[in-house]
Amino acid sequence: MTDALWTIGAGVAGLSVIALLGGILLQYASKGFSVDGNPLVNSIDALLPQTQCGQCGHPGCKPYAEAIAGGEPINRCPPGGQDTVDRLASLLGVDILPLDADDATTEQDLVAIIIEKDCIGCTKCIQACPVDAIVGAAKLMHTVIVDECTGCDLCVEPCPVDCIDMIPRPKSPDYWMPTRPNIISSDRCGQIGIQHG
Amino acid sequence: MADYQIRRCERQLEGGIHPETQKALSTTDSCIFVGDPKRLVFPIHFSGGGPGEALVAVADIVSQGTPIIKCQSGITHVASRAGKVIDIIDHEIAHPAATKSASIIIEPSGLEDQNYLDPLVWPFDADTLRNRAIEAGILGLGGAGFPSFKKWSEGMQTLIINGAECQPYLTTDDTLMRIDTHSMIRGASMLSQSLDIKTIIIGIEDNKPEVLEAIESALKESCSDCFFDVVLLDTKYPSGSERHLVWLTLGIEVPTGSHAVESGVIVHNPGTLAALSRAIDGKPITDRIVTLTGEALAAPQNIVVPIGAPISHLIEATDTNPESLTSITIGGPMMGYSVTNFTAGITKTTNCLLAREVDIPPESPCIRCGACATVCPVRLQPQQMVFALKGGSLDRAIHEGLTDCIECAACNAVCPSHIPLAEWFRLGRFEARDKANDQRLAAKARERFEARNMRLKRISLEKEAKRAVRQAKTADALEKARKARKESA
Repeated sequence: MTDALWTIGAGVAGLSVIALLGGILLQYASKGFSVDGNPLVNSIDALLPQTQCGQCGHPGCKPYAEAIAGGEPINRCPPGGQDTVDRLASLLGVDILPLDADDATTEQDLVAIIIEKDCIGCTKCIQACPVDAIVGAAKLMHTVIVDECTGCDLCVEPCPVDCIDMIPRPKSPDYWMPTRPNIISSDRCGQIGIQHG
Repeated sequence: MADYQIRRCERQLEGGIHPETQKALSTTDSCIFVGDPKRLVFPIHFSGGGPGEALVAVADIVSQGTPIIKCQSGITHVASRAGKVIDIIDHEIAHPAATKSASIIIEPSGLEDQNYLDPLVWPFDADTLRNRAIEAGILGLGGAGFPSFKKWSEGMQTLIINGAECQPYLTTDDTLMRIDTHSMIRGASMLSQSLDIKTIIIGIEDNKPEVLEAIESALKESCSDCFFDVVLLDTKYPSGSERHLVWLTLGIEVPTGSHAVESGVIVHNPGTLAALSRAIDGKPITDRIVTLTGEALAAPQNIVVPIGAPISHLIEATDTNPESLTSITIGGPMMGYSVTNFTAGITKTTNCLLAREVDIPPESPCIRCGACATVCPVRLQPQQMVFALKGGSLDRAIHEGLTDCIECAACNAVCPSHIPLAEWFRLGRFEARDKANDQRLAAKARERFEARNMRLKRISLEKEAKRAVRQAKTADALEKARKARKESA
């Protein structure tokens, strides 16, 4: 009888010790290896085009990424185009939705340019630019750093003298693209689902 | 006598093909100089070395060797003949982009007016040599046009002279290695000694026995301190691809996404090294050897032509009327591109003009035979990548290894359905490059957006703190005033 009790006691004690050690280890791991913020938000943010244009109804790409992680539809990013919707669908394992945008003009890669002779130096565009791509000071001419401009066009509307234009992003003079080979009738058109691995 | 050995390559190229080489067509004992053309065309942005800027203006008189274009990479292109700048206009260019681009047009005067650099005197260091390569406009003359000096970093172990010339029809390097062997070996030795490289490998395909003889006799006369390892490769396309040549001669597999230089190996075309040897003597690149070949030419041969000479001038040199041809392929049958306008000037990267009639049968559907995968030297699955690209899924093609494709077009050559696989891959690679660039810009924008948000937050917190201090002060003052009033009451 005592032997049996001893055996049971030793088993219970042994398992308790293991459970305790495991608990301590888990506690340590949850503190030591914790990730700041929602990792899903970062992966979503990495797929967004970072124009920070606010067309999705959120003040920037990261806030939209947070909203998507919270269940908002994935098709509200016009600058990203259908490609971004597809990639988001693939990441989140949800259905591909058609892009929620007016027309195809959103596909164009534009940058803002200030007509410098008309600029009155009001600084309103500088305040509107989400990526600090406009330099200038009060009552002095402003200009856009083209390499930093995301083409969000948030600076166009606040300008009181309408001196900001959106132009296609300037390309390097030696930029070129090979011509597209023809598709023959047996080729399947349209998208192949993006399912990696 | 330099220390050397000749050996047969013990490694086999995986994949690859054995196309009809057709090299006998243009092989000649010597290499003729053709007369100067009526005008020379130098594209400002497409001469190799990145977008450039013109250093001369219309009506300027230039000497042979006067710098006329400065590229973003630093490379300077010089006038290949003395003459007068008659125009700077948008002109047809010899480039797969097939567009017009700003070009400098020079009318040669026929005068022997030379403006060369001062000869360098040994010993010189690597920096001196780099500057010289920049001033003399030394680019990879094999076809890619990569600025050579960028490969010359410290800590390199081996220099490989890429004399494989595996592409059919081409005999440019073959000719150069036979008639200009000494320059090539001198250029290679000087480069190696200034970079402290001990071993120079010369990789040639075994279909060039005359080259081997020429190299052997040149090495016997040379007094270089380097060790020359002459490697005879099996004739198979594409053994002259940089990373394949490194594997064949050294057994080093260059990792994906990196270049041979990152594995301690410099690979140069023989022409580049011969040009470097002349640049050390002060002569910038003004001429190059071009193979004129193809069944449609009356007298195929190799000629030495000034850079900028119009394509039509070269065709005339082979006793052929340019008007009898509708298009010409620049750069060989496998990786070349076709041009239809013969007024474009040749550049430093134009190694071959190929004129022949080819009937390419119409494309048919893929029958999944897998022939392309068998010959792919990079061990990719071309049929999978082309499905993805045709379906518009660049991501999937990249996942299949698109960025490792070397565009050798071996898959094109064996495809029974005549699918232009390599053209799709080239387009895909360009799109992938643009996409990577977009991602880089997006990362930068994200950083700036977050930095701005942090700044705005900090400013508003500072304002808040100041306001709190102000409010506390006001409250203090009020309290004091109230106390004072109470006391006085």
